[in-house]
Amino acid sequence: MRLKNFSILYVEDEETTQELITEILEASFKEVFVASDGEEGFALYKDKSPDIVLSDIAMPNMDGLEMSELIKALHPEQPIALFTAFSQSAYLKKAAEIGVATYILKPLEEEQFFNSLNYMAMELEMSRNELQSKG
Amino acid sequence: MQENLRKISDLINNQNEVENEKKFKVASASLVCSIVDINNKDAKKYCSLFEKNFNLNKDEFEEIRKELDNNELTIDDKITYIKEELNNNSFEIMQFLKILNKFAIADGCKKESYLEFEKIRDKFLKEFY
Repeated sequence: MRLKNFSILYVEDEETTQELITEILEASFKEVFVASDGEEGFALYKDKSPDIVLSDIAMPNMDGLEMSELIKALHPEQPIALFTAFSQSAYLKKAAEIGVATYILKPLEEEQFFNSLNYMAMELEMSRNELQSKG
Repeated sequence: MQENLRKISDLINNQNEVENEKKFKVASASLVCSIVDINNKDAKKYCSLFEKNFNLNKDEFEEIRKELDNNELTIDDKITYIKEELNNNSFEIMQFLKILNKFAIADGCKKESYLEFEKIRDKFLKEFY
């Protein structure tokens, strides 16, 4: 399975959701790093350099958008997916401006969830192959 | 004589290339139009994206948009055609999807646009997942 080659940082403040999704991710990814808000997520990102970032938007201390903005400032090509119910258009406008291109639907639909993660993994494979072929 | 034959052959090949290019542009523009609802007011907003990514200027796009009304191909037909044109190459397909994704989030990522993009994305990629 493609996702087994990748690591993921998952940021979610809601405990029950965090436990549930972490379990799903651990069964699919090589490594899963978990944080409970954007501040912790950004620190973990800098420490672990995960391949993919998956985050909720509304969180205490630092929200998912602020964290994504900081991550994109460090690595503009970093694939980031945000959980959204598509109800907060101002947030989504900002997310698109930051360069977030993948969104995971709330409530979670398993097929959409895995298709989106696989798409991000394919994007990563593609950009890595491109880098390799360049030199 | 031989030179004339070569000229005719080049002409036919060029004609085929022009027709294929147009067919590809129509199929691509049509997929974009199923993702974002482009009316006359919005056309300007998307013009630079069309020009940059599909080499389509405003007039060409308007012409293609008129053709779309009479186009009887389904979304699946267009996806199949584009995949064939891209030689079913996952790299080329991903590049193409990145362009569609830009259109889907160009206006701040509306639910309908993004979900339609995903539907198309997954049809393109189901065999690669």
